[in-house]
Amino acid sequence: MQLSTIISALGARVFVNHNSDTCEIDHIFAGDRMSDLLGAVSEQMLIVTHLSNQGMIRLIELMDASAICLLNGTPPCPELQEAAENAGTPLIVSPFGMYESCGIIYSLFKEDTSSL
Amino acid sequence: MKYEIEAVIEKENYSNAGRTSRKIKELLIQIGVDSAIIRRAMVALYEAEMNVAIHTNGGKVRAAIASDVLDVTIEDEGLGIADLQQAMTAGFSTAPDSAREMGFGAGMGLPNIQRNTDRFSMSSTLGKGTVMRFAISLAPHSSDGAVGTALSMEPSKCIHCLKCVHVCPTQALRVHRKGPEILTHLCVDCTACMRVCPTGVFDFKADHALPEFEEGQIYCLPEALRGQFPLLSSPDALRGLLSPLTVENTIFSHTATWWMNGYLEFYRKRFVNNEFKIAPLCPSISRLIQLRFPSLLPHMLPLMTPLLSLREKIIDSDLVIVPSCPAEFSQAKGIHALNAVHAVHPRFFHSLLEKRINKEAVSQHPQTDSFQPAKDCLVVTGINQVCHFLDQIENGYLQDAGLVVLYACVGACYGSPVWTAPGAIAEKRSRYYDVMEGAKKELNPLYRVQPLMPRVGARLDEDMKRAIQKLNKIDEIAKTFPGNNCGACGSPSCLTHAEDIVLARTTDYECPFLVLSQSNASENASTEK
Repeated sequence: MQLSTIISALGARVFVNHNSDTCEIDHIFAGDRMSDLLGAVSEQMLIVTHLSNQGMIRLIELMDASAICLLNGTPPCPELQEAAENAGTPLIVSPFGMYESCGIIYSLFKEDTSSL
Repeated sequence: MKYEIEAVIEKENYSNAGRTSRKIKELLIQIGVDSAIIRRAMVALYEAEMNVAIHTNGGKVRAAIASDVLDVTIEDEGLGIADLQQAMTAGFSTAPDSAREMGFGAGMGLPNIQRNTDRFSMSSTLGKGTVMRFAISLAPHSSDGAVGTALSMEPSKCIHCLKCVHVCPTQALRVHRKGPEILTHLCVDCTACMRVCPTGVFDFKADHALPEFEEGQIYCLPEALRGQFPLLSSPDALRGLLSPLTVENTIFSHTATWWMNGYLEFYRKRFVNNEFKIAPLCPSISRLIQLRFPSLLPHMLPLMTPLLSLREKIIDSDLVIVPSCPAEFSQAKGIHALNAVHAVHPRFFHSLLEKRINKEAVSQHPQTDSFQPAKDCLVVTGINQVCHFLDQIENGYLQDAGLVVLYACVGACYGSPVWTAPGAIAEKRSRYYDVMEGAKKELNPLYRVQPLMPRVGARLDEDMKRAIQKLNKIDEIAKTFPGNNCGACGSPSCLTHAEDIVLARTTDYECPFLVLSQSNASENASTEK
């Protein structure tokens, strides 16, 4: 699924827009535990998380995550934005909380697979 | 060639933690490492850095990148870990709130590191700190360094007796007109060919000279070396001849085996219903199982071989290993660490000792009262017996075999073809002291972090369509052969001969039986005329 589809479904604000039109997303990982994130990251994965801190900056730098979605309309700290910019990782902020955001993305994927 | 990097990790400096990881990532990208492997390395490194920043008073990270391995040592100054087993348990955490706010402290750090590395060990002293070591293989699919062979050949010595072709348990040998050939993807370094070859074609390329003696160097000698001469059975007698070797800088490689036997007994007691398990003591057997008996892989105990465990214990020293077989040699060569590993050929050591030994002295018989063989542990030695045994196991028999130790050489490592003294005698000579030496040295077995994977033989062709065509062709040709698998053509069986023809491994040597029957037929035809 295109990242742009997810962005428009969530009505998300885009902070870093590097190749977000071409960015393909196959997996979603939602969570706030760093070790879980580190262990789960793979290619073509969107990470949905509250974390907007030094740990996330490292995650972007080290792990080549495809895209990051923050929550509750809280804008990212400038350092995180910069790191995403440098790494070419799309960074978006959903206006909803974790529960709703995930619900919306989940139904998107469900539609996507049922239409196949 | 290796590249080293060292950095300090500061206490509670969460924003700096991860810097070294980033630097290493850039290096790995520059040398062209696969991105999936980089990701694994980053998980392990970053988790380890954060661990030091969160839990300790700071520490040091030391990383070495060699051509095919990333080796990392992380030392910290902290309280140490009282219970390593508990610390390794997923979900157990002692992280402070400041770390938890960052998303850390879920108790997944250490398990995460272990999961993403190919070798992992940790030791801790209460009140002093913890040392963690891990390594990640940078070449895809070679975390055990097990593909290929350490055997070397001198084809000019070959007299085409075909003994090796008949004896090879994995059909890895061919002796065609152009000389012997090892199909490296099938060889498991079992030494069967070394043992039967009457002219010594097969050997391995360990050094035939001692490396320059340096302070802090540790010599790792095989027990069997002591058993070669009647007078050398005590470790001190051997060291006396090999000055400047002392108690401090020598260790006997089977000390680790002996220790592991103790561990196996402990393990055995926890078995339910005498469950079938294979102890990975002989590296060649592990490779044999990967290649020929992959269905038995789940029965392998998750331990590294004693040699690798031993290396982990003394990883801070340069090491001189005297491997007693090509399999051990390839393990010694496969150890990538910050310090050098030299492998010296056992035959060189043997001749060195022969020159120095005082032949007039009278042999002293060791007291063997205290020796107790490992109890209730089934030992099968010799590659033929082992193959037969594993065949039967795979066919569903012997499932109540319990704990099994398998060796490729008859009489375990004492029976390696590099030794001249009969294995049984060498073992008897050095046995008593095994117990004494082994008891002194405390050694933790190194747990295998990545499971052993089945090893695939070579594919007939990259392209599956062409592979199937070739398969058909092989069948076709094989049908023309008599099917008695005599091996006279230089390939071990009629089917492999057909395969060799199709894969262009041989152009000559037709089936001798076919040639014979054809010439008979033409003779008959001519006499009838």
